Amino acid sequence: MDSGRSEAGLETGCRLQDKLQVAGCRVSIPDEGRESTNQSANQPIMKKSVLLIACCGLIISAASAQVYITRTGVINFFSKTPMEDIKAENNQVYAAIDLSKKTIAFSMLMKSFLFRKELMQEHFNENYVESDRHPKSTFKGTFTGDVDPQKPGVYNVQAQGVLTLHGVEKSVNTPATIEITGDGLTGTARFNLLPQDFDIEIPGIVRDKIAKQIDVQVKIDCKPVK
Amino acid sequence: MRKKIILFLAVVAVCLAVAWYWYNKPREGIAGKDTQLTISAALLYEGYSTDETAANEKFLNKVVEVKGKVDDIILNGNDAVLILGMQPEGGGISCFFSPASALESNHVKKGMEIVVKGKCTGFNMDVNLTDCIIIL
Repeated sequence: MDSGRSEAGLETGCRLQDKLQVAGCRVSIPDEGRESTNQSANQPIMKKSVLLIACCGLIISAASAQVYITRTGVINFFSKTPMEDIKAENNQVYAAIDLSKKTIAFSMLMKSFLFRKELMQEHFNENYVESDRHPKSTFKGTFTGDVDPQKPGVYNVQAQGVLTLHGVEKSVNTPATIEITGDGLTGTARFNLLPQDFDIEIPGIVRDKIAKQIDVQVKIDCKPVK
Repeated sequence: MRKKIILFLAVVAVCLAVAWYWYNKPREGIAGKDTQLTISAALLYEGYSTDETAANEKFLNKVVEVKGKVDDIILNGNDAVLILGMQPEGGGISCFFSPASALESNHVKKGMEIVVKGKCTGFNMDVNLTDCIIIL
């Protein structure tokens, strides 16, 4: 039952089901975590049987239980020029990290990037990223470097993968950190993007106001899928 | 002649002031905007999960009032995301509040039935609403 729920929900977003299906089968033990709020209606008897299945699943594939997700990741971008500083933030980023397979996936809506100025947000959506035609941006990739989910601490990793933005796919390679915390993990990364790499044309009149390189910052607080 | 020059300069100054105002106009929230649609969280989610394109035509960029149960509140500094009406499929309505204190001052807690007004920005596992305020 729970696997069905998880799959259906995830399938619609960022094609993470491959990674999350396995973990989803064992989405089972209701706790305080956000990912399990949808199971609060489970009957005790259900819990027991699911727990049993969960244990079997764990024995069969002990290593694949390391999927962490969030639906409230934060991605900021900054453009700094002497003329103007522009900042936008998206607090509704969907992200999943599988520590055993070392895969990472992000999915977000361009319209959920919020600017301080009305006109900037309008131009961003209508002229630059054309969010009606290309509503989502996604990242699918992997990371290298060892992360031990049993040992809390900050791990430096290298993330690489394909970023899709404005309908254009481009590979991105960036240093990142994964911090194992008591109840999950926090992932951070910072990298630069060039608008022209994604076929985003900046009109001459505002060229001085928009930086050649856009500084992107990522922060995701993920909880384990359990 | 001199009067004309002064008049001309005055007109230019007014135009610049107006342009400056429009350029720097802060992004307005939605408190002053009229609600275009009222719907339950379950129906809104169902609309998006069954046919995203059709749902976008109906809801995208619209100011909607959504009624549902508060399933989670995730704080992030000054901001908060409230998950409204989680569906059995695992998704719900993700409502972004800034500042987060808007939730506290309305005594919003998990499990409550509330009405959120926000701008629909699309579907990404959850239906996203931004610039949210609590109506009830």
